[in-house]
Amino acid sequence: MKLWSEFRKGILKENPIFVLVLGMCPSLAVTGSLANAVGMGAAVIFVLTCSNVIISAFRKLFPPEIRIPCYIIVVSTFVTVVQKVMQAYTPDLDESLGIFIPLIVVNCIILGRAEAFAGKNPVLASAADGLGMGLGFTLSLAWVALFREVLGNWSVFGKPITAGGFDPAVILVMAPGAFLVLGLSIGFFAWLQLRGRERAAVAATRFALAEEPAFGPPLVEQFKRERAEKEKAAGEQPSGPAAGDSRG
Amino acid sequence: MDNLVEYLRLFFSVVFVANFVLAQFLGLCPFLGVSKKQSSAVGMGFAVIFVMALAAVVCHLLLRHVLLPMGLEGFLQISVFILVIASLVQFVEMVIKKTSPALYTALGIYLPLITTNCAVMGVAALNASNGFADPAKFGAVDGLLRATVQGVGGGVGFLLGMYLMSAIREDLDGAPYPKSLKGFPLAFVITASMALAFLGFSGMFSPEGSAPAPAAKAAAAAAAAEPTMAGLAGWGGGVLAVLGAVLGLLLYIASRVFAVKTDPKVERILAALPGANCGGCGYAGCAAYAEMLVKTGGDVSLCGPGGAAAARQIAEVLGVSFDASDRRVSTLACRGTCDYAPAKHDYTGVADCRAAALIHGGPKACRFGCLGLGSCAAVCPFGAIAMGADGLPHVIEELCTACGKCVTACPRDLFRIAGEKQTVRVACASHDAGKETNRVCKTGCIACRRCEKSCKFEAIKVVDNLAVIDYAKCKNCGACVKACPRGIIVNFRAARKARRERLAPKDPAGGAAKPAAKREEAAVS
Repeated sequence: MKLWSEFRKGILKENPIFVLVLGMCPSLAVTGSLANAVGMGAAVIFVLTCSNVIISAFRKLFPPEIRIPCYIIVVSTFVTVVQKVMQAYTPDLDESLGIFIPLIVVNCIILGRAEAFAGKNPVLASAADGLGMGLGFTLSLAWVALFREVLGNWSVFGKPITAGGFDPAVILVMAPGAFLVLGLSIGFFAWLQLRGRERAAVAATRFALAEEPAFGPPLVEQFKRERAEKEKAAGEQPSGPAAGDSRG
Repeated sequence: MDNLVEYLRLFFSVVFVANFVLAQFLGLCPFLGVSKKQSSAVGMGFAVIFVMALAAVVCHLLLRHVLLPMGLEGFLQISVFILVIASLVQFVEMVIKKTSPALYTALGIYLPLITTNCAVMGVAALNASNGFADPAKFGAVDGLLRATVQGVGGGVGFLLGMYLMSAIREDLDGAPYPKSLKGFPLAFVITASMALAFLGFSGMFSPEGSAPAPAAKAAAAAAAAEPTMAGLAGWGGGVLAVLGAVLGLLLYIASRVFAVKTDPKVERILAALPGANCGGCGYAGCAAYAEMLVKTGGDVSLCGPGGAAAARQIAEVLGVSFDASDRRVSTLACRGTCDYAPAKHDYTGVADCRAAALIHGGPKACRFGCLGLGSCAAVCPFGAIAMGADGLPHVIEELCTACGKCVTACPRDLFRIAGEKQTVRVACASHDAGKETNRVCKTGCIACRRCEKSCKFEAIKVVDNLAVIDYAKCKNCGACVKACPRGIIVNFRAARKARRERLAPKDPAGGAAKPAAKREEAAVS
C-alpha cells in the first residue's frame, strides 16, 4: 500500500512539471509533437527508475561529501544506455530529440529524486517513486504536446486529422507556443489548487471581519450608535469618541 | 583568421537567432529562478558566460584530443562532460573565492546554481553534435575557436534574455493579473512573448552554418562502433578512472590551496537546507541564503522545500528560537475609519492607493492616514489582508507570513511588521500636532502623553507627536491601552482571542486545533 502511495504521488500531488516545476527544459523542447514527448518520457522513466534503484541500493556506500558526483556518474551511465538504444532502434526519435537526450543527465528531476528520495529510502520504494515521478513527467509532457500538436499542426502522433476547416496555429509548434502552453498549463493547475485554498481563506476572512472587536464593523456601529445618542441628548459634545468607548 | 565572418555569424546567431533560452530551451531553471531582480539577473548572466566559455573550451579539448583518438566519444561523452563541468564549477568557485573576494561576491554565489544549468552541458553537447571536434571537418585551431565562440555567445544570449526578463518582471510586480498566474505561469507567458519577439531575428542568417551534417554523424557513429566491445569497456573504464582521479586530485589540491575560512555556522545551515538551490527564498541558492542568515540574521522560515523542519534546524544553529508563536505579522498603524477620519475631497480614479496618493496627497484629510483603497489587500500573496466595511484593511494574522509586500505597497507606509507576541501596538502614524490631528481624525494620536504616565515600565514614549512603544521594555500589560483617550493603542490579544473563538464556535477542542493547523500551513508556505 505504501509503495502504491509512493507511486501515485508523482502523478498528481507532486507532479514534477506542474507542481514542483522541475525539469523545464526538456518539457518545452520536446513537446512539439506527441511522439517526441512520449519518447522523452519513456527515456526519463527508464533513467529515473534505474538510477533510483541503483542509488538506493548503494546509498550506504556513497561517502556523503561526494554523493552528488556519485549520483551523476550513475545517472550518466543510464543516460548513455538510453542514447545508445535509441540510436540503434529508433534513429528518427534520436535525431529529433537531439541534445536533449544527453541533457537528461542534468535534468533536475533525476538528481532531485536521487537526493530527496533514493538516497534515503529502500530499493522498492525508490523504484516506485521513480516510476511514479517518471510517469507524472510523461503525462505532463503528453498534455503539453497534445495541445501543441493538435492546435499547432492539426495532427495526432504525426497523423493528420482528417476533419478539415481548421487552420493550425503554427506558432504553437514553435518556441513561443511552448512557453505559452506550458505557462498556461501550470497556471491552470495552480488555479485548481488555489480554488480550494481560497475557499478556506474566504471563510477565514468572513470570520475575521465579522468578529474583529478592535476595528471591525461592530465597533463602527457602536460608534455610530453612541454618536447618535449623544447628538440626540444635547449636542453639547458634538462628536468624537470619549475615553474608553473606542476599544473592544 | 580567414574565418572571422564565420565566427561572427556563429556568435550573432547563437545570441539572437538560436538564443539558448528563448529558442533552444536551455537553462530555463536559473532563467526563471533568478530573474526576479535585475541585479541578480545580471550577476548570474556574467557567471554563466564565464563558466560556459570555460566548459566549452575544456570539453572541446577533451573530446578532440582524448576521447576521439581513443574512439570513446559515443560511450563516455556524457559522463566525461558532466564530470568535467561539475568539477570545473567547483574549481572556479574555489579559485575566485580565494583570489578575488569582490568578484566572488558578485559572481560566486551563482556558481552552485550553474552546475545544474543545462545550458552549460548543452553548449558542450551542441559543440560535439556540430562536429567542431571532428578533425575531418575543422582544423584544430578553427574548431577550438568555434567552440569558444559558441560558448561565449551562448552565455551572452543567456545574459540578454535574463536581463530583459528581469526588467519586465520588476515592472510587472504588483500588476493586477489573476492570482493563479502568479509566479511561474506568468513568467512563462512573458517568456512566450519574448520568444515571439526573438522569432523576428530568424531571418538574419541562413542556417547552413550551424546545422550538423547527418551523414558525417552517421559516419562517426559507424567509426565508433568499430572497436570491439571488450576493448571499449577496458578503455572506457580506464579513461573514467584516470579522469576521476585527476579531477579528484585537482579539487583536493584546490581545496587546500584555495581554502578560505568560512563560518562553521554557514556550513551547518547549509547542511540543514535541502540543497535544491531553487532560489525560492529570494536569494541566489542555498549558500547565499545561509550566508545572509549568519551575517545579518533574518527570517529563518523562508525555505519552502525545507519547510518548518529546516527552519527549526536553522534556528537551532543560529541560537534563535523558532516556534509558531514566535512568528512575525504585519499590522496597520491607522484606525481612521471612514466615519472618524473624513475625506477632504472625492476621489473617483483608479481604485489603487498608490494612484490616489498622487492627487493632492490623497483624498483623506489626514495626511498620514490609510486611504482605504486596498492596494495592500490586492498585493498580499496569502489572502491575509481583507478590506473591512469600516474602510480599513484587516490583517488576518493566522494567514500572514510577514513577507513585507504590504509594507512596500502602502504609499502611506502604514504597515509595521511586529512580533505576534507583541500584542500591544500603536495604531496611528500621525506626526501632526495634537490640534491638527484632532481636526482631521477622531481616532488619531494627539500626543497627550497619558500613555507615558500610565506605563510602569517606561516602555511607551511620545516622540515627534506620536506614541512609540519600546518592545524591549513593554510587558503587554495594557495600562496604556486603558489610558489612551483616543483608543489608538490596541491590544490585539483580545481581537485574536475573539477571532479564534468564533473560528470554532461549537467545539472547543476543534477550536484549538484549527488555528494551529492554519498557522503551520502559513509558516510552511
